[in-house]
Amino acid sequence: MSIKSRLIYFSLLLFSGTLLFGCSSNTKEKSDFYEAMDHRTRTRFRQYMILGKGLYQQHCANCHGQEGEGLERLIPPLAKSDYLMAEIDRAVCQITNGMKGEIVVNGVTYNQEMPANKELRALEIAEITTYIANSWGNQRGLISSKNVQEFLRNCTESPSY
Amino acid sequence: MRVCNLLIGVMMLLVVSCTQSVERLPVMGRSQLVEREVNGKTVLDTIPHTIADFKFLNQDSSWVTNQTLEGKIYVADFFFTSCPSICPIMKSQLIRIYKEFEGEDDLRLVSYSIDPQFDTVGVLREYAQRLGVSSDRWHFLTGDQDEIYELGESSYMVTAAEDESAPGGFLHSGAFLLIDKERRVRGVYDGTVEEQVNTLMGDIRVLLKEYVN
Ligand code: HEC
Repeated sequence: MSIKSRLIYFSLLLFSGTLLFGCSSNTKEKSDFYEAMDHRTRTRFRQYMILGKGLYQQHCANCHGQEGEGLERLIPPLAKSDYLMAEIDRAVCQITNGMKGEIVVNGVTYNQEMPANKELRALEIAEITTYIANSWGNQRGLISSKNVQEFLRNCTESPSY
Repeated sequence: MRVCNLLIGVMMLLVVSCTQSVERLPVMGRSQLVEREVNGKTVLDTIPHTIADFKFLNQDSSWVTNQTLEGKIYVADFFFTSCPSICPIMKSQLIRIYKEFEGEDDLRLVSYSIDPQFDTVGVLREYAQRLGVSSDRWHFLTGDQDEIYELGESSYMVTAAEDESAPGGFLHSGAFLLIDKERRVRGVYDGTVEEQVNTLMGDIRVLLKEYVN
């Protein structure tokens, strides 16, 4: 083998390695609930995830960060947030109606107002919620717009929960 | 032949831009021409644009003025704590700078509130504590709203783009300004864009070198 072809061979190896690695970590994120979905739900889930990402970047990423990491003790993380994952219905109410008052996320106390998103439709809220509940290590499965409508009917009145 | 010329052109460009970046940062803003009497003759002096005198309270309720910042270079920005749009990004970028220059005693960060009625000393103190930053290196300033706007628009605004001329436009544009020890503006960056903040961090190093020895 000439040096040149060896180089090409080597970079191909590296490239396929990254591909493999990328894929395996992907499948790991889409775990049991994904396997259990029928074909139609899977397609819908994937679509929610893509549209949810766009909406998230437009409406939420400024504060919560591209990777849902939050900002110090000022803005709570969404990535691996015990608070978020504990009650998704509560999160849907908070995302729609805004929130204020003290909350504890992963052991840290936050107390800063989050604005409401009244202009977003149930479908959009569903896409965003599906995206944040299934990214950065979170795993929850599809939250449909029907789920969202139902959650919103049962929100408590007060803006802090 | 054509291609060759083009290549040479590109190379020249590269050389020029490289040498510029290692040389010196520009001094920004319009300098003023003033007449002065020297031995009975009038001569023209150019006075560079500088940050005017100011006096505002920081998160510790201490006065901060140009004298407080004497012997320091600093990055200035305008924000407000309840801002839902670009401010959290600006603050996360400033925290990057804060952490990157941890041991650099000649650098300060100065964040002026453009909503000083709401952003009282107490609110700013809580905000700074939650960001986990110290007033030794990062001042959050509040005071008379008109004075803050006036200072922002007359002293810090050096690039008057059309869309920035609206009231509060420039002040709420997410700009970071790099100020030298002579109170001159040496750079303007978009504080919401990571790459621009990378450039700013490089420029901070270049500027600090001007004061070595
Ligand atoms: C202006 C900044 C800001 C924006 C924009 C924003 N949030 Fe928040 N968010 C906050 C703050 C601050 C809190 C904490 C509220 C408190 O202390 O009561 C919070 C709390 C939350 C929580 C519950 C706590 C947690 O971390 O699990 C969720 C879920 C959430 N936000 C999701 C979203 C989503 C989704 C969007 C976009 C539609 C969004 N936020 C937009 C600032 C923001």
